[in-house]
Amino acid sequence: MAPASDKVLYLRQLLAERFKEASLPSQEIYATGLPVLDEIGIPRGALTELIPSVPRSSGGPLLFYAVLHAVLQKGERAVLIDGKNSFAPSGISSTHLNRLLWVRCHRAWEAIKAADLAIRDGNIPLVIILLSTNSPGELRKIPAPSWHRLQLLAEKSAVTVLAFTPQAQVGCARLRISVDGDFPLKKLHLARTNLLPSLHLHVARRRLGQERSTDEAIRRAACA
Amino acid sequence: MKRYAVLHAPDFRLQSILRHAPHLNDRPVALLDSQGQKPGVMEFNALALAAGVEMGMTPTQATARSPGLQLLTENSGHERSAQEALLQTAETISPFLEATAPGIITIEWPPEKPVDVPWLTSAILNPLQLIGLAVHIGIADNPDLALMASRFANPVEIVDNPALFLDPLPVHVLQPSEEIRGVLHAWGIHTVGELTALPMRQVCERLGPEAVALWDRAMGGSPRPLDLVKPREFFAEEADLENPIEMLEPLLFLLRKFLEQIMVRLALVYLVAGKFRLVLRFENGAPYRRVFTIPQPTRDVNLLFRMLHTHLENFTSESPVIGLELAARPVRSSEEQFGLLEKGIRDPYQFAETLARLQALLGRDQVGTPELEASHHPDAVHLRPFDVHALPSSSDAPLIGIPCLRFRPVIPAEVILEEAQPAFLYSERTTGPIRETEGPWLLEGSWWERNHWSREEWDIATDDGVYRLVRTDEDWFLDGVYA
Repeated sequence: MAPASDKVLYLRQLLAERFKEASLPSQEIYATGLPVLDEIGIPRGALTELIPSVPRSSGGPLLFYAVLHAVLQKGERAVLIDGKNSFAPSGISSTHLNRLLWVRCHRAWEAIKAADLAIRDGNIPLVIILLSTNSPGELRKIPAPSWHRLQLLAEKSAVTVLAFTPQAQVGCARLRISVDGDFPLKKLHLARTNLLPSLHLHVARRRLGQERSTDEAIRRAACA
Repeated sequence: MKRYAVLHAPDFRLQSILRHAPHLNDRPVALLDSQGQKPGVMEFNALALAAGVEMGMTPTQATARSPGLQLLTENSGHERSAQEALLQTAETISPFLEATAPGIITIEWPPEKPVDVPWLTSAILNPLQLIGLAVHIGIADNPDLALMASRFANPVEIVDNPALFLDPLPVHVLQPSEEIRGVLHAWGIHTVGELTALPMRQVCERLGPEAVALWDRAMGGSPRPLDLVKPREFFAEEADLENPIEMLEPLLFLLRKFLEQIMVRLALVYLVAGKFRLVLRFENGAPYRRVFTIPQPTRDVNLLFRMLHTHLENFTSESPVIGLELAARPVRSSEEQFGLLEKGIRDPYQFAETLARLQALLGRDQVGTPELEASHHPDAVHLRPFDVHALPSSSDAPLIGIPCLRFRPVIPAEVILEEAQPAFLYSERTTGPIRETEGPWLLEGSWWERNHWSREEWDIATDDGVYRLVRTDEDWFLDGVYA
């Protein structure tokens, strides 16, 4: 690839100065405390989408509870934006629940608004948006710019956002992870630590911060 | 020997209103007595006095003397707040206080406190000036003499020699009856000193038993026990509104004024606000009450006002506001240092505001920290307010199995049984043959109460996923999804 000309470099610098939030370095990793996720590396200050690899049982709820438990166990605080009021607190050790802010929504649009407030606030470093039990039809009605706004807010406030959705939904997600696993009935009553190795996570898509920044800045400049 | 001080706020009712209306300070103002059959001027400021306004004038007469005169009516809410402020300031001197009358506080003076004008000015007069109250202070050996001294103070009168203080005063300060006042006038007695120069026995013989008490007062009175009171725990400002408020802006304007007053009062006693209570009274219906917990106790007016503003933005009522009260519960300001590894909330005020916005969006009972109830019901949980100071726990219990995501509300289902086992499922979420089942698990609770519950739980696997299926009485429903 040919090296960028001086004009392009100047333009990049100009855009970076004007849209500081679009050019924040975003290679920082948020450590969840869950090895299977930390191996992949969840970007801090960005939106990560977690989807099941197939619509049928693949361990999405198990991953959700495991990551929430791991984060709270580390002593971190977390906000759970529950899109369909489906979280069962008994799935987490009751001694860790006091660091969790549970926001019970009943519709997807409520969850998006609540997530907007929680991410904008920036006081709690992890926001989990649980939309796994919301219907796909309802989720399709969420306009793409809403997700985009959440992504920009996450960058600005350095909040890590994990969105659990039933299918690929968040076009602007920095990282999309597909969750795979086989959990028949007979495994339901095993110890959680024995179940986690059955989870297989694959990076379905990863967008680098710098690329995104430049794309974003150029797109914004074009709009301006 | 004990000493007493009296804080006397002249024209107290007028002052209590004007402290919330500083824009009237440079205008002639009079307070009307609306209790009598005919309203008359009861109190007025120096500008009204200069314009010729006198006590007892009708509103028409008063405005004829001073065309720009602003006429006000009594506001019992403001009076209560001002009296409370006087008491709380007095409490910084001594805990032994008497609320002698509206605008008059008697203090049993602690012997260790100095009695000199510069100290009294800095400890009492200046702080009260900051909250809009001008007082006179009288100090003497007994409460009644101290009260009398406060009436003639400018602004401080310290009575070391009662005779020297009382002798030049007009005799009516002893509050004789009309009859005795007439007799004394006829005798040519016009001052207290002239009265006490007469022989006591003969005066009492001629004027009767009332003269004994009059003589006692003329000699400086005698000590009496104080009727002690304790100021309220809350620092409150309240108002009864002459014109009901229907819009948010004027309400916020008033609340901001109240906040400023309360914060000045708290600053005087080196305290900060830990909680707030807002009470709105309406023309019709029950009053609205709300307690705000301040994430980190503070005296910052802007931060606290933002909290009120955020809450009231989403508040509606069917009838206008006719009265309001804002009260702060004071706490001592504390310095907090986090542990080496503990992470605090970066901006607790911003976080409190975000919580308020989330509650406004979803409802107060939808945002908080989950807490499991002491019940065997699988969904026995409630929310409690999120505590930003909650400490992480090191203890951990092993977790068993895959937890489910619940369907709230549950999804009704039709189930076909084969040999007492669920074999086929119809529901809005999934329909099809049931490939595997585990169960049933029979659960029952609260059988001794009206809200008795019992349920039969099955774990089922369909082509679509693994679900929890529940039967209560004859109804089936899907309760959650495992995977």
